[in-house]
Amino acid sequence: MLNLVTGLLLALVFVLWLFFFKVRQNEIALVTTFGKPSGPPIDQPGAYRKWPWPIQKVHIFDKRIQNLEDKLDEQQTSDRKILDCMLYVGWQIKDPAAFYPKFASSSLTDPEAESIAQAERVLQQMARSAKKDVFGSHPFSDIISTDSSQFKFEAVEREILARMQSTIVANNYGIELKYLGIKKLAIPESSTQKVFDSMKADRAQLVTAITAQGEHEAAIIRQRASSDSQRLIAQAEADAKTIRGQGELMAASYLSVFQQNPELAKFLLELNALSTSINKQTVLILDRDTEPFPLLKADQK
Amino acid sequence: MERNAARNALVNLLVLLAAGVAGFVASRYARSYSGLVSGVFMALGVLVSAVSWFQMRLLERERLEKLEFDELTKSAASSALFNANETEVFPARRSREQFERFFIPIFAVILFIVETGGGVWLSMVLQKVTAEAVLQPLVCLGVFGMLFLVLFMLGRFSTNLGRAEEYRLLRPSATWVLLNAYLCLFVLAGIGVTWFGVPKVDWYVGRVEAVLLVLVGVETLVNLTLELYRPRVKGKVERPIYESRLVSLLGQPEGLITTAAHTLDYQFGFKVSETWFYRLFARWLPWLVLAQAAILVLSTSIVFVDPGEQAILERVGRFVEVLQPGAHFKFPWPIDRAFRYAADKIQTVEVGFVPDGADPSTRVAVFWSVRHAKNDENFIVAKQDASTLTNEDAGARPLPVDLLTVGIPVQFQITNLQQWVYNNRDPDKLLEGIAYHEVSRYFVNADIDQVLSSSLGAAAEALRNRIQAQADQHELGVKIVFLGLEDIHPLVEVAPDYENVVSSLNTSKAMILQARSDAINTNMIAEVVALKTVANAQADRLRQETNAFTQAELFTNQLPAYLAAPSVYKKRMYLETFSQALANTRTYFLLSTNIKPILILNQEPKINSSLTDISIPAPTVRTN
Repeated sequence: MLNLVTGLLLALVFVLWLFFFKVRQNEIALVTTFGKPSGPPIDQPGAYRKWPWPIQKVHIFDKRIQNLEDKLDEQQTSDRKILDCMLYVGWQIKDPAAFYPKFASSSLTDPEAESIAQAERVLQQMARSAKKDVFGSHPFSDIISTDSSQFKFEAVEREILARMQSTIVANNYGIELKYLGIKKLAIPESSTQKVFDSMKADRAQLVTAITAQGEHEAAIIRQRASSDSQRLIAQAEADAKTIRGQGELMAASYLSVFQQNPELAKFLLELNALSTSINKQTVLILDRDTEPFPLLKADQK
Repeated sequence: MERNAARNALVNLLVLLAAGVAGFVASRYARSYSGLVSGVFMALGVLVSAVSWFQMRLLERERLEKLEFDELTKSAASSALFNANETEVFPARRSREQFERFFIPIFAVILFIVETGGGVWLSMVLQKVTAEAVLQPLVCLGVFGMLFLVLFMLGRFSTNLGRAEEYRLLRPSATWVLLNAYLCLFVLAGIGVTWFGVPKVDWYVGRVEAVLLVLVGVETLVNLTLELYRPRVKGKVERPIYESRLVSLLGQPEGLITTAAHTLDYQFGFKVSETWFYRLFARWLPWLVLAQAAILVLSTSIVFVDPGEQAILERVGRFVEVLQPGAHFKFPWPIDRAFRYAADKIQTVEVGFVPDGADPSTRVAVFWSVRHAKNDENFIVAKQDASTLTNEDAGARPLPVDLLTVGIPVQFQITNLQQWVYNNRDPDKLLEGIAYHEVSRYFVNADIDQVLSSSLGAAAEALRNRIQAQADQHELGVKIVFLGLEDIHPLVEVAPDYENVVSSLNTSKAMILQARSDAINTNMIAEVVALKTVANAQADRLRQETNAFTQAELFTNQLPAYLAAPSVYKKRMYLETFSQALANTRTYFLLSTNIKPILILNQEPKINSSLTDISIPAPTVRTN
C-alpha cells in the first residue's frame, strides 16, 4: 500500500513536470513544436499544458525591462575633442518569436540566459556605433557647457536612442528600447594631467587677482588717508595764518600810541632788542670808552 | 566454499580496481565532478576489499591449520615428551588474532581519516570550482552505465553470498561494490540531467557524494568508539570494525529496518529488534516518513513576513497580492510562492566614490587634500569659456573642463513593491544609472565655482527632485528620501591650489584692514597737528595782542618821564639795560685804544655746556 501511494505520488509529480509548465508574472514564454514556434507568445502568468520534450520545448524569457550598460569608451566630437562616455540602456523583449531565432543559443545549460547575453552583446555594439556617430556630429559645447542655450544633452541622448531603435526595428529583433541615457562622462587619461594644470593655473590666477585687489584697495585707503591728512593740515595752517594776521591787525592798532614821541619809541625798541639779544652765551669785548666804563680811566676823577 | 568466498572477494577487489580506473579516466575526460568523486568511493572499496580478502585468507589458513592439528592429534596421541604451547602450535591463529587485534583497528582509523579528510577536501575543492557542462556526456553515460551493470550484478551476488554467517567477511566488500553500483547510477542520472540543460546537477551530485563520504567516515569513528563499550558475549562472532552499516544500508536500502535491527542487537548484546516498540516503529516508519514529508510541504502554507519587509505572493506564477508584515496563510508550495523584500529598509546608492570602509567615528576630519576613499571617480564640470569654443581651431586648445570628486549618497525606499519587482529586472541598477545620469548632467551644465560655492542645499533638493521624477517616469516604485552633496570637492591633486585661494582671500582682507588701521592713524595724527597749528596761532595772536597793548601802555607811562628829562631818561634806560645784560655774559676789557667795541653774539641753538653753565645743587645736610 505504501509503495503504491509513493509510486502514485511520484508518477503524479513526473506527469505534472512533463506535461505542464508555469509562466510567472515577470516572464514571457515561447513554445516551440519540433523547433518551430507554435502559437503566440504567452505573457500572461499561470500554468499551461505542453507536450513533453522532444515534441515541444518551452523557452521562458524575462519580460521585464533589462538594464544594459556599455563600456566607457572614447568618442570624438565634431570639434575634435575627445570624451569618454558610458550609456545605460533599457530594453525589453516584445516578440519572443522574432527574438529567439535571432539570438538562439546552442548552450545546453541555460539557452534563454545565453540568448539574452547575446542580445546584450549586439546592443552594446550598436550603442557604441550610435554613440560614435552622434558624438561625431555634435560639438563639445552641445554636451558640456554652462550656457543653457547651447546645452543639448538630452537631444544627444534622443539621437542615439533613435539610431539604435531604427536599426532594431529595421532588422526585426523582437525587442524594444525603453530608455537610454548617458551614465558617465570622463576625459581620457592623457588629458587628465593637462586639466589638472589648467585648474591649477586658474586658481593661481585667482590668487593673484585677489591679492592684487587687496593691495589696490589698501593703497587707495592709505592714499585717501594721506590726502585727507594733508588737507586737514593745510587748512589748519591757513587758519593759523589768518589768526596770526588778526593778531597783527590788533597789534597794529596800538602803534598810534608810539607816534606821540617816535624818537623815544625807537630808542626803547633798540634797548629791547639789545636786551633780548644778549644771553649767557654772549661774549663782550669792550674797550675803556664804552659807557659806563670811561669812569675806570685813571684820569677820570 | 571458503575458497569461493575468498575468490569472490578477490574478484570484488579486482573489479572495483578496474571500475575505479575506468570511471576516473572517463570522468577526467568528460569533466564530470560526480564521476571523479565516485572514483574515490571505488578506491576505498578496493582498500576494504583487500583487507577483507586478506582477513579471509588468514581465516582459511587458520582453518587448515586446525584441520592439520586435529589430524596429527588423532594419529599420534601424547607421543611427545612435552606439550607445546598453543601459540607455538597454532601460528596461523596467532597471526589472525594479531591481525584482528592490531591491524584492523589501525586500518579503521586510517579509513576514518581518509574518508573524513577526503570528504572535507573534496567539498572545499568543489566549492571553489564553477559548474560547467559535461563534455561528451554520451561517452560518460555509456561508461558509467556499464559499470553500474557489472557492479550491480557482482554486488548482488556477493551480498547474497555474504548473508551466510561463515561468509560474513565477504559482506564489507560486497556492500562497497553494491554502493559503488548505486553511485554509478547516481552519476548516470546527474550526467543525464546535465545533458538536458542543467549543468549544476553534476556538481550537486558531486557535493552530495562528498558529504556522504564524510558521513561514512564519521560512522567509522562511531563504530570504533562503540566497539570499546560493546559487551563481549561468549560465542558471538565479532563484526569487522571496518564494515560500515551505512554503506550496507545504502547498498541495500530495502534492508533499512533489518540493518537497524541487527545494529541494535549487536551493540546492546540482546534482541532489541524483538521488542514491541521496535516492531511498532518498524511497521509505521515509512508512513511516518511520508507524513513528515507531507507536513513539510504543508508547512509552506504559512509565511511569516518580518517587520520592515513585504512579500510578493504568486499563485501558479500569477501575482496575487503584496503581503504586509505578519503571518499569512497560502496554498502550499509549489502552488503559492512568496518572495520577501526589505521594502521599508532605507537603501543607498552611492554615486561617485566608495568610502574606504574605515569606521567614520574614528576619522577625526576629512580634508580635500587627503585621500579618503577606496577609488575616486572624476566627474566633469563645465568651464565658463566652454561655450565660446565652437570654431575649428578649438581642437588645438586644451579641454575646457574641470574635474571634481564627488561622493553623493542617494537614499531611497521602496514604496510600490509590485512596480519594483515586476517592471525592471535590475531596478537597483536602473536607479544607480538614473542617479549617475542626473548628477553628470547637473555638473556638465554648471561651472565649478557655481557648484562649489552655490547653495548646496538647494542644489541637492533640485537633484533629488530630478531623480525622483525619473524614477516615477520609469515606474520604479521608489521614493528618494535623501540626497547628500556634502562630499563634493576638487581632486586631491589640485586641492592645495583651491585652499590657496582661501588663503589669498584672508591675505587680501588682512591688507585692507591694515590699510584702514594706517589710515585711521594718519588721520588722527593730522587732526592733532592741525589742532596744534591752530592753537599755536591763537596763542601767538594773543601774545601779540597782549604785547602790543602792554607796550603801548608802558610807552604811555614812560613818555611823561622822558618828557620831564629826555637825555637823563635815555641814559638811565641805557645803563640799566646794559648792566642787566652784563650780569650773565662773559666780558673782556681791552686796554688798547685803537679798537672799537666788539660784541659777539652766539646764536647757536645748542651750546656745549661748560663748567660755568652747570647749576650746582644745594648741599644736603647729612645727619648721623
